[in-house]
Amino acid sequence: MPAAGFVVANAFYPNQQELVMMMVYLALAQGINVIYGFTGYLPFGYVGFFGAGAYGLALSVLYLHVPAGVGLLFAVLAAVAVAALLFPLLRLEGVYFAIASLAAAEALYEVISNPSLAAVTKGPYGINLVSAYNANASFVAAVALVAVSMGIVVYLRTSRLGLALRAIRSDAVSAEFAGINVVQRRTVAWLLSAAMAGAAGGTFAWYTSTFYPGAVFDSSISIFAIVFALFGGVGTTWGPALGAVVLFGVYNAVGISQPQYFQLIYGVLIVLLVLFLPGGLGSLVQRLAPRWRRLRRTPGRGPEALPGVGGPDG
Amino acid sequence: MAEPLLLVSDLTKNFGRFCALDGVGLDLGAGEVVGLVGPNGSGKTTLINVVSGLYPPTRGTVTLAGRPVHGGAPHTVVRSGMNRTFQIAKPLGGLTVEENLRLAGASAGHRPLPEGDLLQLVGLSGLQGRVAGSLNASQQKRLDLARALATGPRVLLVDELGAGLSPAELDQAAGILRQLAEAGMALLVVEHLMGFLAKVTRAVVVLNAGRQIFRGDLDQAVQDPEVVRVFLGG
Amino acid sequence: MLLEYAIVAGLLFGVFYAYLALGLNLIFGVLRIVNLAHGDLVMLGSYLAFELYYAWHWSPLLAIVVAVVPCILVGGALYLGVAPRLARAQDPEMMSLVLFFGISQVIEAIAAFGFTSNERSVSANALGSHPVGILGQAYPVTWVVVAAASVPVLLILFAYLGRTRLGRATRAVMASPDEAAAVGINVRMVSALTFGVGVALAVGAGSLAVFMLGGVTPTEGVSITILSFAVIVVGGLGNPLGTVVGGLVLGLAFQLTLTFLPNWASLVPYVLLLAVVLTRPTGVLSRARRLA
Repeated sequence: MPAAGFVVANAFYPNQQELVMMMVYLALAQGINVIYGFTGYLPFGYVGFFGAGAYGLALSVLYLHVPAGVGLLFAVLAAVAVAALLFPLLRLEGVYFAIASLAAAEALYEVISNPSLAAVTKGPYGINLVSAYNANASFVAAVALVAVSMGIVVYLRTSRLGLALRAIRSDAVSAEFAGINVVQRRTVAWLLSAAMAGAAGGTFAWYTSTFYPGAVFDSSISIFAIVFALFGGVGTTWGPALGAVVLFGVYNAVGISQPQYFQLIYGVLIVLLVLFLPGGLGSLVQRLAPRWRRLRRTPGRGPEALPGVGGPDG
Repeated sequence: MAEPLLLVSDLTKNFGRFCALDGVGLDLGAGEVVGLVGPNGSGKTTLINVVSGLYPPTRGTVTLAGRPVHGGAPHTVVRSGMNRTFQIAKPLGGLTVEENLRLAGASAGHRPLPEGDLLQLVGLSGLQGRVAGSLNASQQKRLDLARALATGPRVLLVDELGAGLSPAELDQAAGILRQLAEAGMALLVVEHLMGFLAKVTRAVVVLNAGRQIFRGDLDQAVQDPEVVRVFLGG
Repeated sequence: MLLEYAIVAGLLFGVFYAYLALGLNLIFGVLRIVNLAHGDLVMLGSYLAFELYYAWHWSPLLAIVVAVVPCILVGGALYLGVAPRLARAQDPEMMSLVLFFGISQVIEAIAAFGFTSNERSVSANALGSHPVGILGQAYPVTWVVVAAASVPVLLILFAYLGRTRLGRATRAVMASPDEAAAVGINVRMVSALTFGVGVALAVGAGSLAVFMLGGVTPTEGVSITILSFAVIVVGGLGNPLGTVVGGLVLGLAFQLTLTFLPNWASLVPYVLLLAVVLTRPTGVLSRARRLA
């Protein structure tokens, strides 16, 4: 449904690039949702997978001469490979995990942008894919990206895997004694989340077609994704999507020319969220819904008019 | 005699230089109930933690129906037919009672009781839809037991089930454990409350400082000079 | 020659790194919070020293002293303001991480407004133009001055922790907040004061950092936070003395890599951080504690 929304928006809204970026961020916010909302691991270095995806697509197009659509598979593959390399990080908890993932992403950036590797990665000089540029095809890829990432979250909300992940987040030891293979389930969520960011990075690379390493490893990409997800409410289906659409919309309205304004706004937003609304907008809807229902007493209107927007148990 | 269902031999666990378990051996047959007693710090809970797979043993073996299970992660132990309860119950707080049991039932090694019967057995009927974190302490304890039973264990390790229960609840809990044993389950029951334990079994193992110092009848245990010295000091 | 040069330079940087990371470790030790705004506080300190130096020719050392009291007041007040709400959160550890992440964003944005996004560079000769000879080789005077200024700060802090009543109370809270409270220590006030001291240390280190690193930009906070975290992880989280060890290890590793593999030196803090976090038991210890 949101994917269809973007297709419709494309017909009316002149700035296609903004729409593509919004879709990329929607996928990233849902990727954060998968790893943080369902397992409790908060990767501050999430952008590492995005960058890996962008380079996965770019290098496969440049060296293997595959069509960019196939390059998206290499984007996913590259991100999954980085995630597999970082399996040991899952032994860490909380703060250690968050900061170690940040360090890993920075390290990956330093390696890829290193002048010593310029022969392979083009080092700090960036990537040029103009020959593969195709605005319409990459727009379709972005729409598919949204559909798939929404699909993954819907699957997690309804499947045994999702239930197992919520159990692990609740208490890993008890989950083990409910017979859940905690390490394996976490690993699946980690790879899934990495694959989503990789696909997002690949889509971005394809649509933009020229970029510097600093642009696809920019730590503010992780920050945006985390803020969008938290704003809407992690653990829900619609929260992160809502967060990405609303906040990225605000960003486009106020932020592009003066990004500091937006940074200030979302910084304040994070502080307020943590202090006053730790469950995100979703939890607000959930908290207000019963009251609203009591006020209205009209079946079929009230919160039912907002399908799926609910807290962790909604 | 048939091979015991649970066979623990020479089980040793060191934490750094501290030896929490020192060569403990134990066997349990189907339908058998053994009480595990000992002063604080004698290694009772450590034994359960190691046997259930939470910690790997430093040395020694645990076999379940002839198959070694030591060194495996808890979920593999659970799937091969052994589970445990916790002294401080930790049900999956964010999930409902029903989801807790559905999850545990999904990985059952053996055909467990239907969920309804399970809830009735532990006295949680009608609470399926409640979020586990909102239950009171006694209810969480019951859910913890139901979670373990939902995985269809043949061996159940029970850690201080009696602590914090009212006298009426203690009677009920003892009844549940007897019922499970009659149905053929092997139970290892760690307990401080001797009155409660006596309602479940006469057979006890006494641990002190990580070693077994007595195995036999509860009545003999209280006359054993070493057991008396350990419990009363001196 | 090269090796000796790298080692001496590494030690000079190491002492400075220890100062840079000390506030982060002190706050972690007492509050079990990773102050993700640490690097941004350092950045603010750098701008403060820069402005004072170029507008009024104040020495950065004076800036350190001037900053202490306001920092303690602001930091302490901030702590008292947010701590009660954090304590009530479902997952205080993660929530405090996210909170300080938000605060770091706010500081960065404000700095970009106040000082523009351009780098302010400091001349290499700002603190004197005559190189200093050590063991027969010449080192920039800035390095020597900064290292020499870091040492007394470290000594004062350790004297505070070891010799004063408040410092001993602080160490008691580090060891166990519950037991400290049981012997009559006001844990809340000690925590607030420690947070303030941690902020003051970060800002003070910043006033040296601008000279040591040759400049300051509003976006440098993240990498300084990671560098500082690497220092305290190597030295031992929550162990103030360990910070010195961590700083020296990082300083040496960085300078040696810079000398022999110059293209890869920027990787050093990240690789050290990952290596230590994954192999040392402290990271894993928290897990063992939780399972017990």
